[in-house]
Amino acid sequence: MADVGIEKGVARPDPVMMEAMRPFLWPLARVGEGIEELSRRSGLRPKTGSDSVKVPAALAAGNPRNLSDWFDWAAEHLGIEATLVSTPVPELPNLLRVGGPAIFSSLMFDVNGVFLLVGWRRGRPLMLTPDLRIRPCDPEHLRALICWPREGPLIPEITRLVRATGIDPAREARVRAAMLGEQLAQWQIESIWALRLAPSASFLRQLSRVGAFRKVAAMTGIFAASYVAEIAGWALIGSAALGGTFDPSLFMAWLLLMATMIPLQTLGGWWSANLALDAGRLLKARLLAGALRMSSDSIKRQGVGQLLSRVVESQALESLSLNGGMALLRSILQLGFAAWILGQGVAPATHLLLLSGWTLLAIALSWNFFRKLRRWTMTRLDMTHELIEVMVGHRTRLAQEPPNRSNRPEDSALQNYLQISGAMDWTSVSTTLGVSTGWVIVGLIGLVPAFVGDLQVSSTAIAISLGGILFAQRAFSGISAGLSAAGRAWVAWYQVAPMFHAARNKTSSQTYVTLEQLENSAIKTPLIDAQALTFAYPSSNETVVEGADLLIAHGDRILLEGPSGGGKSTLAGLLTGLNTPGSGLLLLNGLDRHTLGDDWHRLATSAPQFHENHILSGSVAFNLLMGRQWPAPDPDKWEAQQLCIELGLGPLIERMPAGLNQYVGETGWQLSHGERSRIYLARALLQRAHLTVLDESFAALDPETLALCLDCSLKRARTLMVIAHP
Amino acid sequence: MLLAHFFSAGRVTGSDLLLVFWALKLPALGGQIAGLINQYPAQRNILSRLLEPLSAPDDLELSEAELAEIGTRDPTVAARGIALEFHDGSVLAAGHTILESVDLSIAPGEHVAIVGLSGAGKSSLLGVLLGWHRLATGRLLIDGKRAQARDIEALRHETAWVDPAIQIWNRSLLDNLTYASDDDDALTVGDVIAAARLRGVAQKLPQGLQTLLGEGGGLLSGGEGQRVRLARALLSSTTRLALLDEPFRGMDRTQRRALLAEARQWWASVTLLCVTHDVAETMAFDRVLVVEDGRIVEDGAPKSLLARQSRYRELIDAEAAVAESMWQGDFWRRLTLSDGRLKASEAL
Repeated sequence: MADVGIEKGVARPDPVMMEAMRPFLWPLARVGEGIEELSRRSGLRPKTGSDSVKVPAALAAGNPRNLSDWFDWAAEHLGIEATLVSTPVPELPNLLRVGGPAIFSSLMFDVNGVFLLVGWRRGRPLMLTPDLRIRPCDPEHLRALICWPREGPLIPEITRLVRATGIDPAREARVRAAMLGEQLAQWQIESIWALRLAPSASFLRQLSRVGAFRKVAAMTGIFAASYVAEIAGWALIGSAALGGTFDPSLFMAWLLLMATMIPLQTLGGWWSANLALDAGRLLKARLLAGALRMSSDSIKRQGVGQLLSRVVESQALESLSLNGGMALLRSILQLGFAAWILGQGVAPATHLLLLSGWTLLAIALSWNFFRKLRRWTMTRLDMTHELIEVMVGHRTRLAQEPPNRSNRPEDSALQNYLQISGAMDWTSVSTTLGVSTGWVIVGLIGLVPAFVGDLQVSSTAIAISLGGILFAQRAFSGISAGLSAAGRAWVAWYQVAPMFHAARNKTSSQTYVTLEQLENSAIKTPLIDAQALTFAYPSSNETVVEGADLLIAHGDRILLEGPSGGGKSTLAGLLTGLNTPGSGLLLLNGLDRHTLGDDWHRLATSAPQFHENHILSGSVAFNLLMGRQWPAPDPDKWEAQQLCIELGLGPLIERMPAGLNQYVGETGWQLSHGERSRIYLARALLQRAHLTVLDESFAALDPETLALCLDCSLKRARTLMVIAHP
Repeated sequence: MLLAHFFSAGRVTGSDLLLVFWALKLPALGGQIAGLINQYPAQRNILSRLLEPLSAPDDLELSEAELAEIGTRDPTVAARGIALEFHDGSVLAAGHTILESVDLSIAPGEHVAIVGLSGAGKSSLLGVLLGWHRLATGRLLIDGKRAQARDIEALRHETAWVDPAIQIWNRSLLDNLTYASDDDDALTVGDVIAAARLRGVAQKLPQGLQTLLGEGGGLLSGGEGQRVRLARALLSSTTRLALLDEPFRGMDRTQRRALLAEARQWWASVTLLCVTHDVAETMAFDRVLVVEDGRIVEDGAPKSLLARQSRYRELIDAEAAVAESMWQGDFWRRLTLSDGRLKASEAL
């Protein structure tokens, strides 16, 4: 916070700082190159290979919303993720330290540009310069540059205040900084994009980036070291006991060995908890990305219960896979050590043979348990699914089901479940207890031949063998527990795998098209150009839409009629990109689905039929504006309110205590059929897409309200297709 | 502890190994106990949530005797409809009045249409008869007797309900049709399928009547689902009250007209209440109610309501105006999609 010049009541930034930071500024025209280089230097992408990302001309103007949009597209194109982050002003130095690689946009220079932060070393931020070198810069300059949009307006007032109190000029700068810090404590710095590995990147790479493999190796080392310490301790105390003398120094050595195990185990526990947190976070991010990218065909036929069980199983997968994996790792180590110990004992060959045989037995029993467990889990998930279906239709059940039949399905399902659970529990007991306790018996039996033979066996050797047997017993109980947890995790994986793999689907368009370009190109090409469009559902061989030819110009108003079941909703799905045509050509503004990707939905949207549309748990404003942008800026909310009043929902909004912020949904304010229809209609209209398809949106409305809503739709929609039964 | 023992004993014997072994087990056991104590709050929460449903109020279970009584009702009574009377009823929900000053008297076997603006409270009126709402004030008389909760419960067994919100289960078409009926009604499924115009649907489905309909009837279109719901209601032979709430959504005008006539003929002697937005169709009814802002503002024969200046007449006129100006406007480009083929069509 060096010299700040104030001219005519407006503060100017420090020229020294500006000159120092100017070499790091990337002009907007070269941002594509910059982001590519940054991702490569920070290890997010492989070092070799280049696919330069072209920056469209319109972007050079620097509209922040467009910039954020473009960063999202470019990042996905490059296989990384650019997340917009915001931080409170006092936390900014922290973010600079740990937040790299990151991009900061700045409007302070004569050319709009961005700054690229690579990382932090020895107390200074490392920035990427436009001539592709990495150089450190002054952290205070960087901080001042980023905070300037917030600080600048406040400086004249604060300077005036400080000078009025007559503080010693030498301390003026510090006092000013302190006052600024206090004033801005609640404010957020935005327009920072953090670059990370995308959730759709290879999971192994993501794990290695958080150091998962290093941690696993370290934990293995710690386990091994703690077992070595334990065994050495036993060796010490054992030799003392069997030798018959008591040597204090030996005893101290033993105590020290025991004591070192404590910090080792604490460290191991710390790392395993860290690993669990990181791996869990990565898994959740990946599953969320996958859930949003699953094709609608694959989930359309699935019920709420099935989808819910996927979510529940993902939680189980996370906890079980880590616990099971760690337990198995320790058990294998313990087995190895046990084998070594037994090899020093009375009957090495016998015991080693028995050990390996028993291990195979343990694996076989665990496999048997796994089969029963899988069956039990499937039954449980089916029951969950049926329970959820019944819960969703509880009113139907109350009103329609004859009383004498009312609990039959549940009774038989529970009977079945009880039987299967019993079988599984029995196997589980025999597996866990039988394996570890049985081993002790088998191990002891293995000692017998040594006594029968006429070899002189020393008590030390016997003690060693006994120690080995007990050690192996611990290993076996760990193996059973580990294998059963791993088995459950494997069953959970079946549920979760589709979401996991779906995260790799690419959704964005191949070329970046700004909204302005879409607007300008609109007039010349037809909006929809469809030829010989054919569609059939995969399960049936009957074609629903056959050879449809359709040309829709901008500004058309189309009324689609036909008997129920004729395929009108399917055609609407084809036009809005929710269904993929089996064959035929479908162009939207001259581009096909493969080119536009998910940006198709920006151009063509629909209000689906009543039973396929939902009010989500959230405020009314959220339900209205979720198709446009959320959180929504105030102008959008105002427009939504105006639209609601035009559709006749004004009295409803007055009635609700919180107005547009009223919580609706399953547990909130209950809306009538007509009110819901109008909210769905408003949601579709607020998206301002080029093509709006309204599928039976007016069916639940009385004639007067219908006239209002139809009028409003005709006015607002650019190109409209209405499916109705007038 | 071990130190003290060893120092006092002065020497170490083999049995001391045992002592050391068990002493070293103590920390592990302590760790286990600590872990269990850590888990206790979470487990207790889970347990208390699992036990919550046990403390919920019970459904009114009708006793065997009451059920038997419904089954063996006097046939002359069984064939007739329910008589309903509302005396100054009002319904509150979440502190808001959704119905008030309801004074209504419906004779057995009467067919009544209910119209009004959306959100006026029409569905709530039917909701009182289904048991979703209770009258906050006033009385409801069923067959002349004051209705308690048990009577509403018993009424459900004699009610046929058609509403787009009814759940279609992920079971076979046949199961869905017979869901609301007793087992011996299944034999008349053929008649019901014909009456509800489901022949084409049953033919189209890959496994016919045994096809699973998908979650929430996802395999069917909106109109086909409505016909299944109608068929389910038609199948029951113990119906004395029919409640229809927008029963023909998703079908075109001719189908709606035909199905309404079919339903009224099937339930000719049953008390029928039909909430609909097809105001023109209600002119065929003997009686119509107009509900607005939670009150019944008009009640009478359609012809007499039409003859004078009334809300009913305004609704009829509005519907005609929309049909005329909106749907027949020449700014529309008309397309028809039937049997998968897209064709341009002309206005009627």
